[in-house]
Amino acid sequence: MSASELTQERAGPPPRRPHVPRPPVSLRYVGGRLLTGLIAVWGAVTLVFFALYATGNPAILLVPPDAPPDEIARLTRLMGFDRPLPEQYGTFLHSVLTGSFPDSIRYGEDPLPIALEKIPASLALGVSGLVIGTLLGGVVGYVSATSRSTFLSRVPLGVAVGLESIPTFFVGIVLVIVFAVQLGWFPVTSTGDAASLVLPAFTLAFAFVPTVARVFRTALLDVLQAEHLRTARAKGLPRHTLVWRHVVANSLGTTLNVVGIQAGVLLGGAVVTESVFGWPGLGQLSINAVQNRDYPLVIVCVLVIAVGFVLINLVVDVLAAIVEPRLRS
Amino acid sequence: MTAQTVRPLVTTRPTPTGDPVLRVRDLAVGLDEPDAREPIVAGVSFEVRAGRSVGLVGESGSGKTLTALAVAGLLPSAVRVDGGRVEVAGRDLTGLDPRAARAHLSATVGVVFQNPTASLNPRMRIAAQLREALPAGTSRREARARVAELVRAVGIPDVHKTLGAFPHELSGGLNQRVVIAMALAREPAVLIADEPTTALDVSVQAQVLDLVDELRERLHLGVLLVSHDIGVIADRTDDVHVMSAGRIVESGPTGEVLRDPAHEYTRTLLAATPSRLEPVRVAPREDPTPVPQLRVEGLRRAFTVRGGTGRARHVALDGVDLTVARGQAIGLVGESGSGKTTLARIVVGLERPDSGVVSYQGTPLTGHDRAQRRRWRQEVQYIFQDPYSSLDPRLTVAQTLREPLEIARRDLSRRAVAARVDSLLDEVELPRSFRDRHPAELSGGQRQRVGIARALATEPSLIIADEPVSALDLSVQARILQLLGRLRRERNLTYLFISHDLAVVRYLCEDLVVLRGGQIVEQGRTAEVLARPTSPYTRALVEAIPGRSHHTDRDAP
Repeated sequence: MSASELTQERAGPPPRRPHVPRPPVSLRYVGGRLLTGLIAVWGAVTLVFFALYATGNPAILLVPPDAPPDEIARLTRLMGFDRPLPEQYGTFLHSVLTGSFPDSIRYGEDPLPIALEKIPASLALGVSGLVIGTLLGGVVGYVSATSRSTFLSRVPLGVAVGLESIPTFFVGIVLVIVFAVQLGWFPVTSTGDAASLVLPAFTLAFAFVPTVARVFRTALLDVLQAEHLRTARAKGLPRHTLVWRHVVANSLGTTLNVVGIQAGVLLGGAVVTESVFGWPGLGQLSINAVQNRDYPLVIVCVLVIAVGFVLINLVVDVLAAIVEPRLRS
Repeated sequence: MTAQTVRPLVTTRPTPTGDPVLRVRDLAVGLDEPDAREPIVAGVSFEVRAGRSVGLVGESGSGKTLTALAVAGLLPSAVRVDGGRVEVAGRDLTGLDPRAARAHLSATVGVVFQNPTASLNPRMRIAAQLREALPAGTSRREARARVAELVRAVGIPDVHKTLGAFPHELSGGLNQRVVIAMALAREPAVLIADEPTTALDVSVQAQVLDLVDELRERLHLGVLLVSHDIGVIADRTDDVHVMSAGRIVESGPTGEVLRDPAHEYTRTLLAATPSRLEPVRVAPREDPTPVPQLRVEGLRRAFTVRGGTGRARHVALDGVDLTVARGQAIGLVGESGSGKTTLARIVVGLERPDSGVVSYQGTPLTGHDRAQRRRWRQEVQYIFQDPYSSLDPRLTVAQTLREPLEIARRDLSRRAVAARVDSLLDEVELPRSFRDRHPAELSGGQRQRVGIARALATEPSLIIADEPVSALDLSVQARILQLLGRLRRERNLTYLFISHDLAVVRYLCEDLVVLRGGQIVEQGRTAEVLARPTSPYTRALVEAIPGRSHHTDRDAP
């Protein structure tokens, strides 16, 4: 029997049309996400502006405690803190849009470079925490979903969920005591190099291992029940192809979305983790700025963190759309 | 460019005509538990010869699907083969280690499943999924040619577009063709089709089954067709095995078994086929009011659908006029997307039309005053398609039935309500002791009875039923249809009955409306329309009804 018998009308090779792959994500999709992201950034800085406004006049901090009232009033007027609220908000939005912020109260210079300078350190910590957390969470989730042994399917997930109920700073302190003080494998306070990155990165990772593990486990269990897996088995595919291409890859979509949402937790966790380990990043900078009521610097930190959050989510959304075609439309 | 030579898709097999390609002896399937109790399937034996088609028919729970999956080596992990022999393409699988058995099965057995879209990986393009199905070691270039070849072989028109698409971008019929192409990719000797058309529209159903028939002849395949639908079995198989409670109760040539069933179970199954039921015909009563009970004029409704290429308008209803007189039973027939459900939802007020008027007893719905609106709400009730999701799982049967009464009849005392609940249960032939049961403790048929009782609670006069029996087994379906027929006679109910199954409509409705693309293409007395369809679409629908060859002798007027 030949091909011509099967297709009757023609037996020649198929027309060789060039195969043009469609782009996985349309520009429109990315544009839409960016627009929502911008709204989120605007919301974040506005919230912080009003929160700071509500805490009182920052001019008081700039003068010695025994300064006369008219000195405070002079400074307040000079910095525009006596203007009506809408006008202050307008000036504020203008400075956000142009990137020209009033000088940092503590450092006495443009706060933007101060914050930007901290980005590489924060990025190193955040990304390594994210990668470690996702991998650990993925392994725990996979083992708990697929293992036939009761021990393996329950205990790692149980431990992970237990970790979730312990605050980040406590995990950090325990790690320092065990691995830095007792075993002496890693430095106690950070010097900014690779060795001192290990403990904070793991502390950060532990904060979101449980969520990733749980979501990935549920996604895997769903896919393991799916009918298309039976079709794949009928094709006689080797086990590793089944596992990677049909089970794990199909479970990534939902998991990635949760990782994106958890990026917020990561940033929050970074603030705590950076202070515990003295990691010279954005988190520590913003805590100090808040403690000093360094109004312009706080705003800039929040702005940078919010933009970072939006960018992380955009990357995650694009990745999710690549692994999950149904999200694209 | 030189012409590229393509390897023949299917090589000539040495099997002479009619040799058995699948032999099953004493197959037993049971739960994979240490203290294994009764097997689910036991003592099943049959064989399939090359070029022949063998049917397995039975109701849900009869073990027909487990038998097919056991043969294909695709049982779910909770179930295992307990005993018996399976021989495929001349090789006995008993005693082979799982890996070798899997390799032999995937090379010799192609499987087509019930739900085509769910059977394909949603994350992968069709081309990639087909390439995967080719025998290991096929070169890239060869694979590309053969994938296109396969897609063309199953009659898919736009090869290029289909190959680049994801399953959710294709229709169910196209997806099922893809699944069939996938099953053929490794040049199987046996094709197992497990309810391959249950999830598809009638006309698509016929096309897919035609394709299977054609491929069976051309490629000399042995086909094992599993179905609950006697019509499909009657049309498409040479031999049939009737299964009940995990055993084969009757076997033989299809024509003989269906003409002259020997076993009691086969007889009940045949008697439950809707086209064999004696149609319900109610003599029209004297109508005191000349006003039609329901009148629909110029109804239009469009939805915005977000597709892969952007937004598109889907016109669900495109100017529909319909008049329903008191006591009439109208069957609303059409394929998915024809607008029949949208029409029903607008009539009960679950949806608003873009334009057009729905009048109840002479008054447009928009012009109803409070009292009229209240009365309309009570008199028009809806029976839903899926009895599994249309009941609140947290409420007991009594609570479900009480709810409409508590809203509509506040004047009733608690005792009166309880009495009404009991009489409703009597009316739908459920024992009164079911009052305190939850939906999870009821079977599908019992749940649908509760759904019907709930619709009857407010003493309605117009019932809109959206495919109320399509999710049920044949024998249960027959009993529910009989119940609906009896209720109509006793209560002088008006029915607007939506169904894709012309046989069901023929049983219950004197009048028939055929919808297509949001427009009425034909209407009239059911018997006349079915006997002499005027529009080509209705004719195609009538011709696509499975089991016509088998039933015509009985049904001829």
